[in-house]
Amino acid sequence: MATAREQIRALVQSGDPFDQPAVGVRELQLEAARETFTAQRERIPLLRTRAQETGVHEITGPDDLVPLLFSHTSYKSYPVSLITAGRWDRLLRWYTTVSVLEPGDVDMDGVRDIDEWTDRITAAGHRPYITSGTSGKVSFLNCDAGDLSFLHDILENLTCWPDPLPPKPTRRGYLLAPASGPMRSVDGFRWHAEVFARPGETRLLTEEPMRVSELMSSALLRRRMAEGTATPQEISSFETASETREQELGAAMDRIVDDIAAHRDEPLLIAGMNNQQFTLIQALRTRGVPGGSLHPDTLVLSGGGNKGRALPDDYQAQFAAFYEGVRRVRSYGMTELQGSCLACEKGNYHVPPWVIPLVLDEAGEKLLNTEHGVVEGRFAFLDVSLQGRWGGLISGDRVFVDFSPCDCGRPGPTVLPDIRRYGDLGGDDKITCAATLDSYVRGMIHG
Amino acid sequence: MSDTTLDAAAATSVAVVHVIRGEVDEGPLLDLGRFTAPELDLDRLVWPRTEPGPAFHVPVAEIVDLLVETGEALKADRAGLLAEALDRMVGVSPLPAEVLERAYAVLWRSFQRPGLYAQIDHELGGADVLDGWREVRLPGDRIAATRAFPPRLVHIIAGNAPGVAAMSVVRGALTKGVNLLKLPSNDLFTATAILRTMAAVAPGHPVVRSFSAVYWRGGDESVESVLFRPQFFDKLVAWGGEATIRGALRYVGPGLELVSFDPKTSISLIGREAFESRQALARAADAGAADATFFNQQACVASRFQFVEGSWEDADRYAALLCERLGVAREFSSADGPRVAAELREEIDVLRLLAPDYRVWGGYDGRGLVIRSPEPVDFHPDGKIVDVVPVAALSEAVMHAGVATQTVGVYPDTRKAELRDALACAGVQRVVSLGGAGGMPPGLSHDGFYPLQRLMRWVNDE
Repeated sequence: MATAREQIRALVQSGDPFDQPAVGVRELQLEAARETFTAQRERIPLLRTRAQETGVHEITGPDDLVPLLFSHTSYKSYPVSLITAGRWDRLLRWYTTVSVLEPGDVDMDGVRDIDEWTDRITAAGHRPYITSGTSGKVSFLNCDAGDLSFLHDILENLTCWPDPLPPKPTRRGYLLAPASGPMRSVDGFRWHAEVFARPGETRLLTEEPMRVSELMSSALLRRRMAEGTATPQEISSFETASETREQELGAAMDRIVDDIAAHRDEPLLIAGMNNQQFTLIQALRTRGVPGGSLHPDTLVLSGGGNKGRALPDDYQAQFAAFYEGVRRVRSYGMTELQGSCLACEKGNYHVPPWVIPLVLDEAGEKLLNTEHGVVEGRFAFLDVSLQGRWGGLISGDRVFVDFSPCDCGRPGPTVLPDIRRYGDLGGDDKITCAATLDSYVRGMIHG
Repeated sequence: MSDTTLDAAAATSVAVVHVIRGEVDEGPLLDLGRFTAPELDLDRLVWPRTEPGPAFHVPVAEIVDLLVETGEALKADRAGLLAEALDRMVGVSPLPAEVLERAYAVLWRSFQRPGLYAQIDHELGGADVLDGWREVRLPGDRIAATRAFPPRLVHIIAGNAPGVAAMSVVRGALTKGVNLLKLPSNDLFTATAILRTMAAVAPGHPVVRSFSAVYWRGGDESVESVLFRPQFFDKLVAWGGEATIRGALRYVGPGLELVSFDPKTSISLIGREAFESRQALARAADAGAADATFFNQQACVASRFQFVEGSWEDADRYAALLCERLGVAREFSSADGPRVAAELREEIDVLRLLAPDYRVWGGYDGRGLVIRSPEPVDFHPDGKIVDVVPVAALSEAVMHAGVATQTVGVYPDTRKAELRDALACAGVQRVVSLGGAGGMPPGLSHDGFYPLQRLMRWVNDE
């Protein structure tokens, strides 16, 4: 007899995991939540601590999950000094407090930098997916081999849901991304290319791998600036290096633009984060490629939100106009969530059955879920499919979730399209004279 | 506590009072969500440059008398203005009622004659230069005269401690200039209560007419781009808040100067002498706790990182005692504080798991929590949380002070002299005996400058 988690994971191959009877799914989810809590509590020390602290010993309903949710802070709670001082075994020990990995699972002998550190974890059959925030400190989110294969199943079965794309390698591919690196989008783009693009016909923005140390360099420099030890030359070199990198990427983008313009009558795969997509679209328009002119079998992947509001407010409308008539993956998700919420014909994002949505008040403390109707609040969830880490997390997003059946005819719940980050909704104008060192550092370096 | 009271406040929508040129604004009310406030009439928020401000020619002695009387009226609060403000503050402030009560009870202290003259005498060299032209002898037997002329000021005040409003009113009054106070959303009531009390003491007094205090949302361009012009004001006096100061910067230019009380953080240095006896350790821990809990650690003078000269074991002994003492109510702190925020809690939970490199005392109930770590933690300890870091010598701790460090408390007093130059070199502005971080005495510098001197416009007759 398959466990509840196995049954839920199996739904990805069912044809339409989003069209399952609501009551049955809820029961299965709750059972899966119990299974995952029981299993992960034994393996993830931070979850164990949290369970003890909050006195939650069993899951009787969604309310019991709320005190067990982590915030994204957990996954970047390591002391940066472990990296600057090269204490790789200590950093691994930290990692094992927020993942199912055991310190003995990974050989840290001879590790020289953070990239080798992540490589060693990857070699041990896990993947520390990273996300970067405004502070420059990156989060490390562990996936195990089962999680990775589940992600792969999702893309083979659900790409372009509700009208899934047959997994056939018929396209010329463009990945506006580095060649490799422990980032879920980079892996996701590559896997899509393997499934949907013609072998050997995928162009990359750069052949270089994405380096974690480079992503962290701004955090490390920031720290040295806060300590007052960074020299003017060091700051200048950092800025020059960023500019050089931007110029190189600009040149690479130009080559891709030329190639797309030349092959626009063929089915293409164009994958990139929103800011690269935006740059690409502008360049293609300048090159005389009008909106709606790409081959209809073209597959477009984008994502990543509008961090720091670097893009115009209507960037989504601009994407839609340019990519009119092609196949687009439209979803609401984040690295923390396995398999995103996918948009139906009505444009609402359906929460997959392996995710229990938990709408909380802004403070992230009170559960607002209902049986029917729309609830506004902070998006949180337990992803019961996750094995490599605890799947319960509170996001920074303000969402409206509709618990009633969707207009498309399928049961809910759905996340409605108006999604914002609480951080972008404006501060509350409280002024205090107390501050962190950040105030003295921020704005002085790019990014 | 804050959640329920905030909801209650939202339900009843607190009324924010505006004071315009000394009088309560009776204009039509606007609904601003959590509270209501009179609609702004921008024309009435400026004093035209074509005429001197109301108090430009009032003698200092008279202003000091008025402030002293205001202080006495604040102490008595016969009209109940402070009580009303306190009542409304309790609903919206992150500080517990008992801390606000005690802070309100001593607001009058900023209005005492010796303190007022200390500012005038130490910052300006005496009242003569405020009341008239001071003769200055120059090289080559030249004689000139100089005067501290009244300025036109916008004060963007901080709301984390009610004393900031009192200090701003006192300084503004002593300059004889005109003063527009922009109220912060975390203290919408103290400044206007003080101004109304002053107006009740001397209705229509020129100093009273020299003050307005109103709310607009910080950064609101439709207000700030109009008012923040040299045509109307000389200086923006901005307290803290990175967004505030960066917002104000957009308007700074020729003729409009920024006087910035930068956002700050504070630390403590505990010398090995603390371990000479149990009494010494107890004294140091209590003083360290007093500095860490000032306004429940909401203030810039509140210590967050404490460097202990000794072994890890020494640091642990200090940390354990410190944690006990954080849970004690003091004049400007409560035994209980706000619960530790979820994100910080998670950071700390992880550190607990990294024992023995890290050790944690206390819980998340707001009574105080201490972390002992090999190096300062990456996050900002806030809400009665202290990070204790052992160092081999206090001189090593100096590297953790910087331009953002305002106050450094040192134990014992005798160690200050050996450390103060190095701390000053690192960027520190204030070295105090441990336990003395709260309450800056009037007449000394603040954030590295003499505020009253910076607020004046210095004019020469050569």
